[in-house]
Amino acid sequence: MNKPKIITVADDDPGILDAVGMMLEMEGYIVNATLNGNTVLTSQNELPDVYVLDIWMSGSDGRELCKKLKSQESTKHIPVILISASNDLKHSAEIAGADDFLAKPFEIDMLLSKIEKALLN
Amino acid sequence: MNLGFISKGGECGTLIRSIDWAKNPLGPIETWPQSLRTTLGILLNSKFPMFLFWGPDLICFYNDAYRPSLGIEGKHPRAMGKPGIEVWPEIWEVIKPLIDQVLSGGEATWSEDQLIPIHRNGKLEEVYWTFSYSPAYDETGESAGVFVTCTESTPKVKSLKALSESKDELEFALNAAELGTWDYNPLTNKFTCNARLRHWFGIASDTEIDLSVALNSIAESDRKKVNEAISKAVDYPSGGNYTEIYTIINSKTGKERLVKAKGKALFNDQNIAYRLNGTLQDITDEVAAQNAFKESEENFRKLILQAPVGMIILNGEQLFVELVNDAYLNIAGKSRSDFAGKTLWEALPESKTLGFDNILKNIMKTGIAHHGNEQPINLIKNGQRQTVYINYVYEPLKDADGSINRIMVVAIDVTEMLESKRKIQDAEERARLSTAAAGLGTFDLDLRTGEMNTSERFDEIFGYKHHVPRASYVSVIHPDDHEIRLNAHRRALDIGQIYYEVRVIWEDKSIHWIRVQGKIYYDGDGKALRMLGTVMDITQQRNAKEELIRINQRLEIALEAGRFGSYELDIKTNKIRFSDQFNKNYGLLPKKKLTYAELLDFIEPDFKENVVKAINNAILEGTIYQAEYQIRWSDDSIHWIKESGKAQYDEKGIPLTFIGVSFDITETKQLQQQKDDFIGIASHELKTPVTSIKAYAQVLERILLKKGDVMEAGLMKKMDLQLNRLTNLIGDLLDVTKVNSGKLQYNLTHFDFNEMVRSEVEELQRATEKHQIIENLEEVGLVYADRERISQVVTNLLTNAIKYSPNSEKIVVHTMIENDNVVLCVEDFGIGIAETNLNKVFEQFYRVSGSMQHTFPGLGLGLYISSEIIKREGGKIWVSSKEGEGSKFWFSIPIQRPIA
Repeated sequence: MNKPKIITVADDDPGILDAVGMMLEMEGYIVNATLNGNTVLTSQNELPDVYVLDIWMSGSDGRELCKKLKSQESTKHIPVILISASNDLKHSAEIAGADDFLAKPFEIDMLLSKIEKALLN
Repeated sequence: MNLGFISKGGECGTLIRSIDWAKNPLGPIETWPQSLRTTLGILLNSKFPMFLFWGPDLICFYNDAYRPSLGIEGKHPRAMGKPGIEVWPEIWEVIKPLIDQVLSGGEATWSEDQLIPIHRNGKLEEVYWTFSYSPAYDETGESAGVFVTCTESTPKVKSLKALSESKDELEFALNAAELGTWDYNPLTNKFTCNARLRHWFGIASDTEIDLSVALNSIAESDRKKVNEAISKAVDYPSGGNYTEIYTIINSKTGKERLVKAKGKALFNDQNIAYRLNGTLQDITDEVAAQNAFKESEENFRKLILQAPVGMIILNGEQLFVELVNDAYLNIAGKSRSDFAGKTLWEALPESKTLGFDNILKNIMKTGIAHHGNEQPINLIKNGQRQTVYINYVYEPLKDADGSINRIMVVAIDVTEMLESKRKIQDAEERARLSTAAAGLGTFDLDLRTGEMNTSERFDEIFGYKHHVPRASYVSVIHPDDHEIRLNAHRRALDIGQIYYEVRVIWEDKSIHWIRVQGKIYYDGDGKALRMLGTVMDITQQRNAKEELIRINQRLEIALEAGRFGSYELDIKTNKIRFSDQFNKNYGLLPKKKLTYAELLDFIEPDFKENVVKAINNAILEGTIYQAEYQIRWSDDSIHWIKESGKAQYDEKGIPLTFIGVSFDITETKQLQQQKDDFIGIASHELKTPVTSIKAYAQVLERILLKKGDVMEAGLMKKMDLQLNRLTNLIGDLLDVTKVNSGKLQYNLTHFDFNEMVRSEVEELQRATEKHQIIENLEEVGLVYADRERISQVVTNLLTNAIKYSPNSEKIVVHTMIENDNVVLCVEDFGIGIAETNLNKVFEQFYRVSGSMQHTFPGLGLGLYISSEIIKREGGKIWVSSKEGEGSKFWFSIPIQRPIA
C-alpha cells in the first residue's frame, strides 16, 4: 500500500479549511491545514506532495507563497494549486507560477481531480 | 445931395433910383462915397456893356448896354443892387477867383472868348465872353470894387468853330479818300497827276509827261489791257467811261499797288475826246482783305467739314442746308443725301416740332446766339427711333456787309457722357445708400482750415440733430477718451490713416461708443489736405464684446470653481496657452509657461503615446477628444488628469486651434480604486462563506452516501446546486454594478481568440454531461481585447445555450473573420425565442416569460452584461432565432481595438 500523500492546505477561513480537510482525509490524504499562510514556508514538518493555497489570506498572499516555493530548490518540484474567490485568478496563477488553480466556490470533486492530476505529474 | 450920377442912365438908372437902398448893405444913396458915385456915373452913361461889383458884398450894378447879356426872363432886373453871389451862383466859382485876384493885387485881367455858361432865356446857355476885370478905387486909393467891361462873343466863337470844323472835315475827306487824280489829254498825249499819284508812280517832276511814261509804271502784264481800255474810252461810241483795275509799280522803290482807275472822257463837237480825267484808288489792301476773307471762308468750311463736333450751316429764312459735316450726320443718324439741297426741316422733320424753328428764325432777326445743354432729341437714327442728348450752339454768321443770313449750328452728342455721368451719380448714390444702410456717418475735414463737413448720420451719432461746429463734436467725447482721439490724430499725420474708438456723451447723458475711421489725402507736395472718413455707432458691438468678456470671466470662474483648467493649443505653431487652474493641475506655479512638448513630458510613459494619438485623431476626425492619464509632478507625485478637447477649424477646414479643459481626477481615481477594492473584497467575502457551506454540504453528502442515506444525500446535492446559483448571482450582481457605474475594468492584451474559446468550451464541457459542444473554428489569429471579459461572454453564451436547450444535445461554436472583425456564434437547437422578444434579450433583467418562466431561473443579467462588455470592446452582439427550433447568438469585435 502506497504511503498516504500529504496535502498542505492554507486558507484563512476556518470553515473552508475544516470542510476541505475533512474531505481530503476522507479520501485518504494526510492534511496539513493552516490558517496562517506564512507557516507553509516555516513548517518543520515533512514536505507535502501538493500545496493548496488560498490567495487572499490575512497576513499572507498565496501568490507570494507560491513564488517562494517555486523559487526554493527543496520545494519547487511540488505542485501548487491556487484557490481564490477573486476574479483574476487565472492571471494570478500564471504570474505566480502555480501549476493549477480553482475558483471559489468550487466543487469538491473538481478539487480532488486537480489534486490527483497534480500528483500524477 | 447931388444925385446927378444917376439922374440919367436910361432904364438901369431908373431902376437904381427905384430901389430902397436903406435896406441894402450899401445904405441910402445919400451915404454912398464919391468914388462909387463917380464909377456909377461912368457906367450908366456908357454905351459899352459894363458891370460893377462894389463893396465887401460885391453888390452888382450894370448898364443898359449890358442888359441883353442877361437875356429875356434872365437876371434883370432883380440882379441890380444884389450881392454877386446871389446873382451869379452858377459861375461864382469861376468869377470869384478873378474878382479876388483883382481886389487883392489890383491888376486888371483880360479874357477872350471864354466859355462861361449863364442862366438866361429860361435855361443854362453856353455863352462865350471877352471881358476885362479892373479895380475900382475908393477915396483912399484902395480897391473897393471890380469894374467889368465885357462883350458877349458867343456868335463869333460859334461861327469860328463851325468854320474850323468844316476845314477839318475837308482835310479828313481828302486824306480818307486816298485818291490819286489824273488828267490825260488825248490830243497832246500829255498826262498830269497829283502828288499822291506821282508818289505812287515814282515820278519826280510835277510837269506834264507823255502817257507812255506813265504807262511804264504799270505792271507789264497789265499794260496792254490799260492801253486798250484808254483807247476804248476816248472812242466816242464807248460813251467815254473808263474803269480798269491793274497793278502799278513804283519805279524807284519797286512797291506794287493794285489800283482801280476810274475816268470819264470829254468829247468836243466833233465827238473827239479832248480830255480823259479821273481818279486812281489804291485797292491793294481791299483786295487782299477780300482774298483773305475768301480764304478764311474756305478755311472755315474746311474746318467745319473736319470738325469733330457736329456742325451745320443754314442759309436764309428757309434754313437751307449750306454745309453739313460728317459728325453732324453721325449725330443725326442720317446720310449726306438726306441733307443735300434740302432745308433743315426737310432733312430732320422729326425735330421741327421742338420749337427750334422759331429759335432759328429769331436768331436771323436779332443776331443773338442761342445755346442749350443736354437737350433730349428724338431722332430716327439708323432706322430706329431713339433719344440722344445734345449740347448745341446756334451762332449767327455775319456776312461781309454785317447782315445775318446764315446760322451755324454746333452740336455735340453728350448722350454717352450723360450716361457715364449718370452712372457715376448712380455709383455715388449707391455708395451713399450703402454707407447710409450700414449706418455710417461720413465726414470731410479740411486739415488746413479745420473746417469739417458732416453727414446727417454723423451728426446723429454724435447726438446732434443738425450740423454743428467741429469743436462741438469734439466736446461730447468722454473726458477719459480725449487722449485716445488726440493720439490717433497725431499718429494719422504719420501713417495717413486714422482709427480710434471712443465714447461720446449725448445731451441725455447716455453714453455711446463710436468708431472713427478715415484716410488723409495729400497734395502733390505731400502736404496733408483733407481727411475723409466714416463714423460708426459701435455701442452694441462694444456692449456685446463686454458681455462676452463678462461671460468669459464667468466661465473662468466656473472653470476655476470646478478646478477645470482650460487650454488652447495653436496647431500651426504648437504654442499653448492655459489658465492658472491648468497650471495648478500640473503642479505648476501660476503664469508658468510651458511648450506643448514640455507639457507632454509630464505624462507618464504608459499613457503618453495614447494621449498624443487621441489628440491627433480628434483633430483629424473633428471628434471630441477625451482621455484619462497619469502625470508626474515635479515632486514625483502621481496625479490623474481627465482631459477633453476639440479642434477649431477655419472655413477651409484647416485646423487652427485645439481647445479644451483638464481636470484633476486623482481623488476620484482614488475613490474609484477604493470602490473597486471594495467590490473585489465584497465579492471575495461573500464567496468565502458560500465556499465553506458548499464544502460542508459536499462532505455531508459523501458521508450520507457512505452511510447509505441516499435520500439525505440527495437533499445535500440539491443544496449544493442552490449554492451554485447563489454564486452566479453574486458574480452577476457585482458585474452589473461595475457595468452600470462604468467601472468594469478592462485589461487589453493580444491573445489567441480560438485558444480562449477552446479553453472555455473545455471548462464547460466538463461541467455538462448531456450536451456535446462542437467547435467549428476558422483561423482568426490574435485579437487585442480583454481576454477575461470576452471569455466571460463566451461562457455566458454557452451556459445559456445549455440552459435553454434541455431537450437537445448539440451546441455548436463558430468563429470566423469578417472584414476586420472576429465573429463568434453559439448555435443551439433548443426552445428558441419568440420573434417579438428578440430585441429584448439584451435588456437588463429580461427573462424568458410565460409558462417556462420558472423552468429557467436567473436574474436576467447575463446577456445584458455580455452586451455591455462587447459594446465596450467596440463590437456588436446580436441574435437570430426561431421559436422551438433554436437560437444563434453572435458577437463581433474588431481585431485591432480602436482608440476609445
